[in-house]
Amino acid sequence: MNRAQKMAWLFVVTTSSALALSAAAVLILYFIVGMPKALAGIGFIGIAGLGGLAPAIFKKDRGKVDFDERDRAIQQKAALTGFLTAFLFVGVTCMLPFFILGPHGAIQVKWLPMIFMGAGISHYLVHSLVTLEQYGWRDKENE
Amino acid sequence: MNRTQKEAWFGLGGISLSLCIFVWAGVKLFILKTIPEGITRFWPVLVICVFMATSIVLVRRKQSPAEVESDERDKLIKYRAVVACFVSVWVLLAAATGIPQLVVGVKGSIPVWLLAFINVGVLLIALLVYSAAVLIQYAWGQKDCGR
Repeated sequence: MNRAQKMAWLFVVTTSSALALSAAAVLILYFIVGMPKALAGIGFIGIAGLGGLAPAIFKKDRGKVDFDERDRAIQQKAALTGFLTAFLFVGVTCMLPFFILGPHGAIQVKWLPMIFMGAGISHYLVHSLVTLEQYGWRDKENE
Repeated sequence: MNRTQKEAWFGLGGISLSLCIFVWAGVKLFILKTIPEGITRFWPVLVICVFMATSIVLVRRKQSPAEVESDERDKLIKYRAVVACFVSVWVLLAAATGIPQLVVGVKGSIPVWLLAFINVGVLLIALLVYSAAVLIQYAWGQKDCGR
């Protein structure tokens, strides 16, 4: 497993755990304390930030070349797919309130950073999944 | 002028036109609160359709054999333009989701049609950045060749 695969695995694990824990926390808190306070469970999304430590955890091996044309093509394809997914996410989240609340509805601005955060998370998650898919998930020949 | 440059020029023209129409329609519909009546309400769609049809015909037209279709330099220019486009989208999105909090306050609200405007506006500006980045890089390349 090469460096890009290890980093992608860390992103997938941290982001998936963050999303699952947040969903579970919001659901549990909803039944205990009700809706506005239950949203505090979204705080578990912060776990996804641990994925950002991947470049520090999996450092480059100075002794050998670990990035070639194939890796570059894989990274480009993964970045493009991640970006398109993020833009799709933004498109859907921007248009849904318009169709649900109607053209004269209003939305609180505190929700807007959630769109940015969701776009970022969807980008990194899809980027990592596409990277792993193209390398073959557990393929050890990429070392 | 190769295909990438032609595409970038038509992209720049088309997106600038779309942005103007987009802003005009937004001001008319949501700020002046007037709904255009009769045939005049269809002219922006007509202009965009004519522009798109012309662009498709001109861009799809066979490249002259005297000109190179695309080489390594074109690929690098496109790659850098895409990176500029990605970066501009993230910066614009961060601004579009952060600035309303500064304007109306944390507990304030904005009309939902503004979200649709943010979405389409960010898309159009990102495409504009892509086309401009391609043309600027070709212009820099020509300047370097002239030295």
